[in-house]
Amino acid sequence: MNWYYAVGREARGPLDDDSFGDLIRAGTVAPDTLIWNETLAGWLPLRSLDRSKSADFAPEDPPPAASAAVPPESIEEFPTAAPASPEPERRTSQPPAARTSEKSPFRFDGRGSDLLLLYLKNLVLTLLTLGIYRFWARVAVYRWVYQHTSFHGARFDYHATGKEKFIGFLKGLLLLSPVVLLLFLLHGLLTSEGVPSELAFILCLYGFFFLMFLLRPLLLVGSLRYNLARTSWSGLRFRFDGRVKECYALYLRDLLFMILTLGFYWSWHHVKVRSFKAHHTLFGGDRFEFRGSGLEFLGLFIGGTMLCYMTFGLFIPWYIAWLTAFQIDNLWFQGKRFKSRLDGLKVLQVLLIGLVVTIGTLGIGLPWAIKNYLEMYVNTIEYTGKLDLDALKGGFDPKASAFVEGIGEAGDALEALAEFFGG
Amino acid sequence: MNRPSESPEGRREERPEERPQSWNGPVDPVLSFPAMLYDGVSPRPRSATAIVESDRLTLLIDGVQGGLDIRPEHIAGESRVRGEVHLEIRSPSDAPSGGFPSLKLVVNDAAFGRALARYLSRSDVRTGAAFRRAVGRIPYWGWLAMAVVVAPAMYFALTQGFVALHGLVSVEEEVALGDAVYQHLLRTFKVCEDAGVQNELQAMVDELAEPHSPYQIRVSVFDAKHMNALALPGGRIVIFAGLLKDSSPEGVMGVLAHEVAHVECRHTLKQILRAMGVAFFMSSMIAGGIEELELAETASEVAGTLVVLKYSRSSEAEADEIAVRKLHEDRRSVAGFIDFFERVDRKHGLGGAEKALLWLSSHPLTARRIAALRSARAGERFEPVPWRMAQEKWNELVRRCPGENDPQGKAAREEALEDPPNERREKR
Repeated sequence: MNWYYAVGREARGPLDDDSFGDLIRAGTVAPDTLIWNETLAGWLPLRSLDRSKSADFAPEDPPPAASAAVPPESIEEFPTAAPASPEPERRTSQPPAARTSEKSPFRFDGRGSDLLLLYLKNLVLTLLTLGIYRFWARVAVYRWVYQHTSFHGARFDYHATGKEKFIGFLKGLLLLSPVVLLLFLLHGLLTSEGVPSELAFILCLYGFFFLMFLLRPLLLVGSLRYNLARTSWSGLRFRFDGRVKECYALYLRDLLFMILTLGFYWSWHHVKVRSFKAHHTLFGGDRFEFRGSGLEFLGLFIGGTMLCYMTFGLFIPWYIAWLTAFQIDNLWFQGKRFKSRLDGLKVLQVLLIGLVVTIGTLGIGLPWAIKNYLEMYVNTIEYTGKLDLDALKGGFDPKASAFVEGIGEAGDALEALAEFFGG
Repeated sequence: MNRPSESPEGRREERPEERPQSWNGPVDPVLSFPAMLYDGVSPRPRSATAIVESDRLTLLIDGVQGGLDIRPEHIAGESRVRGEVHLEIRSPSDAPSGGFPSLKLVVNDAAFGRALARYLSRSDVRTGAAFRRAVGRIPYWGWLAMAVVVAPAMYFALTQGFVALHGLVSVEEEVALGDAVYQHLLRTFKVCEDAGVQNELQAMVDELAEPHSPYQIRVSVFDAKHMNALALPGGRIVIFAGLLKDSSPEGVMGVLAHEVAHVECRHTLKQILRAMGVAFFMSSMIAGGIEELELAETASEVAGTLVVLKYSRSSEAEADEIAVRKLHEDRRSVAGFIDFFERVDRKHGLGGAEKALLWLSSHPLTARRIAALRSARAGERFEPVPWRMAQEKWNELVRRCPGENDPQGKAAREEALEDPPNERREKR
C-alpha cells in the first residue's frame, strides 16, 4: 500500500508499509500526523486509524479506539447531543481541574493594550453609527472580560450578540411606546384641566418611573435568565431558573417589611435578593447558594461607612475589600465555598496607581487601570473545594431571550431622554 | 453535498480507483492543528484536530467517527484570546430544543487564525462577510488613526447638526418653551408690576428689535437684588431690579440690546440643542461597556459642561457685537453699556483669580468685553442721541422697583453679591 504523510503543508511519500511503519516507530509520523493512502477517503491523523490496521505497524502509542475513518458527512449532524465515545478520553483531553496549584484557581489574563484597541474600535463604530453600535460594543467588552477570565485553566465565555440585544431593545421600545403615548395624552388632559404644564410633565415622568419600578423584579429575572444562558465556563452554559412570580413575592413582602422597619430591613432585602439570584443560578445542573446574613451585612455597612467618614475616605479601599469578601465568601457551589483574599492595601494600591496613570495619560491609561482592577479582583478569588467535573452536565435554556432586558434598556433610554428635557 | 466551491479534484468524493496513477499526494496545501473542542455537555474538552485546506475546514474529533465539515455559515463567532483562536460553531438550526447552541473550538496557534482567514476569504460568499473580514483586518494603528479623525469630525457634525435642528422648532414652540421657563421663575420671583417702568423698558426694546422680527419681545422686571438680566427663548426678557438701581437709561438700553440679540439669534434654543449634541457625543465616547464606570461618567459630564460654557461665551460675544450694531443704528452710544459693565466689574471683579476662571465662566470676562466695547465706542462717528428720559426722572422711576425682595434669603443674597450667579440661561 502506498502511504503519504503531511509535514506542514507538504505531502511526503509514497512509502510502502514497511518504511511507513519505521517512520511511526521512529516517531516521525506521530499520532497527530496527517496520513493518506488509497483506501482512505481523505487525510486523517494517524490515531484515527482502525486499531487493526495501525496495529500492523505496532506503533508505540496505539491510537485510541476509533473505527475506520469514513468519508465525512455533510455536517447536518453535529455530534453534540450524543457523543459517540461513552467515556471521555483522559489521555488526550486535559481535564481542567487536574491542575493543582496553591495560587487562586481564578485568573484574569487580559491585556490593557487589547482593551484599548477594543475601546478605539467601539468608539469609532459607535460614533459612525450614531450610537446604534453601542449594543455590539458592550457585548464585545463583556466578552473580552469573560474570555480572559479562567477557572482551573478553562475560560469563561459570553455568547450574547449585539444583534440579539439591539432587537431586544427595539422590541422593548415598541412595548413601551403605548405607555409613552398614554402619558403624553395624560399630560395634555392635565394641562387642559388647568394643571401647570411643568407639574403635569413631572407627574407623567414620575408615572413612568413608577412603572419601571414596578417592572424591576421582572427585569431582574429576565435579564439574569438571558445573560446566564449566554455565559459559559469550559463550554458549559449557566442557567437561571428563578420565576418572575417568586421574585415579585419576594419584592412585595420585603417592601412591606421595609415600611414596617422604617427601612432597616433593606439589608436583609439585599441579602435575600442575592440568595434568590444565587439559588436559581445553575451550573452543570448544580445550584449556587448565597449564605450571608442580613445582620452581618447591616453591621458591615454601618461599620464601613462610619470608618470611611471618620478617616475622610481613606478606609474606602478596605470597605471595598469587606464588601467583596461578603459577596464572595458567602457563595457556595457543590457544598464548598468561594473565598476572596482581597485586602484593602492592595485595593488602595491599584486604585491609586490607576488614578495616577489615567490622569497622567489624559485617559489613555484607563484601559490598563481597568485591567489591573479586574486582575486584582479575579486573581484573589479562591474555591475551597475541588470541582466535581463528573457531576456537571451541560444544558441550555432555549427560551432565554433578550426581550425583557431590552425593555429595561428601552426604559433607561426613555428615562434619560425625559430627564434631559425635564432638567 | 453540493457546494459550489467543490473542486473537480475533490478527493473525498472521488473513488480511489479513479485516481490517476501519476497522482502523487495532495495538491492543495494542508495544515493540521491540534485543537480542543468544548461540546457544551461535558466540562472536559475533547481532543480534536482541525484540518484546514484552502477550500475546506474539517474537524476530526477523537472518539467520533468521521469528520465534521465546517462551512462558513456554521461559524458563529471568532475571537482571539491571547494566542488562542476561539471559534464558536453553530449547531444546525433543526436541533431539538434543549439542544446545545454551539460548540467551541480552541486552537492554541496563531497560524490557525491565518489559515482560517485564507479559507474563509475563499469560501465565505455570504453578504457582508467580505466587509466583516475587512473590518477585522484593520490593524491597531488603523483604529487609532480613525479614532483621531472620526472623534473630532463627529463632534463637529453632532454639535453643528443638533444646532441646525433649531430650524425645526417654530417660533410658537419657542414661545411655549420660554413661557414654561418663565412660569417656573415666577414661583421664585415676584414681578414688579409698575406700569411706568414697564412702559419705559418696553419702549427701549421696541426701538431695539429688528423691524421684521417674528418675536414679540416683552420685558418683565423681577423684584430681586441680582444685577442681571436674562433672555428666555421666544422673546421674554427678564431684568432684575438690582440692575436698575444706580443705573443710567443708556446702560439699561445696552443690556437690553444684548438680550434682544440673544432672542433674535435664538441663542438659548441653540444652546439647549448644542448641549444635547455634546451629551450624545460624550455618551458615545464612554460607550462600549465602560459606561458603567462612574468615573467615566463624571469626567464626561464635566467635559460636556466646559464645552457648553465655551460656546456660551462665544454667543455672549456675538450678542455684544449685535448690541453695538443695534445701538449704533439708532445713533445711541455704547458709553452707557460700558459704564454698566464697569459697575459690574467693580462689584464682582475677581482680579487675578478671574483669569483662572476663564473656562468656567459663561460670560466673556467683563474686562475683555469692556475692551471690545471701548474700541466700538472709539469708532463712534456721530453725535450720540441720549434716551428720552433724563437721569433724574429715570432715578425716580426705577425707585419704584427697589429690588428689596429677595426670595432666596439672606445667605443667597450675600452669595449673589460675592459671586455672579452663573446659571446657564442668565445673560448679563
